[in-house]
Amino acid sequence: MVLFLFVIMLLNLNKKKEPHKKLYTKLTAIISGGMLFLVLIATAKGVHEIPLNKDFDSQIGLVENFGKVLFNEFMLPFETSSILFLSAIIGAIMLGKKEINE
Amino acid sequence: MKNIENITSVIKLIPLEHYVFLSLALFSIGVLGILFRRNTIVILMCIELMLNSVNLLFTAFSAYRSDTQGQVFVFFIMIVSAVEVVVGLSILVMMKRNVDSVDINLLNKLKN
Repeated sequence: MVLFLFVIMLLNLNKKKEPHKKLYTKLTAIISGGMLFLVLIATAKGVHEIPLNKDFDSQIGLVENFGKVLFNEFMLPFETSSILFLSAIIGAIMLGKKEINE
Repeated sequence: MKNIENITSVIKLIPLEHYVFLSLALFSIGVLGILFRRNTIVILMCIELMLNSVNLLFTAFSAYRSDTQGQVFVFFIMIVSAVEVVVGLSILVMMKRNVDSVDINLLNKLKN
């Protein structure tokens, strides 16, 4: 879905009438963004490090092991997310279709 | 099997803090994008960016701790973000149809 959005943005259909921000606004954005980043880094610095596991297992990301966890411990959330998907599909169709009297 | 072992040893060369910093940078970029941009598509992309920065953090910690549950969380975050993009894009289509623009400043009709 990120790729889809990215393609839409790359198409950039309204290049002419796209408003450009003032230099002042850009500067404010950069400064406040940098300050936010600094605050977040300062927060992350305060966290004490976790020691690495002694029994390091490189196989946890494989589909087999991942699937075992997903379909044993997380069965209920997995099935519930299908309902979420169904409602999203229905909602998208409801929002996307044209009104009859239009 | 041999290849996977190699990949993991390469991954372990990178300290965990680097992942944390990258994810924090992505998160701040996402927050700033939401606050400063007015285009709804870009705002949706920034929400995705924030979600994916959290995903990156989850995956990094999960790989370092050899704990699968973090990756399961990533899976569910991806599901939720997919659903959110579906609904968001359809709202965007409606907005374009009704007010012929994707500028978020025009969506102040709920005020007053």
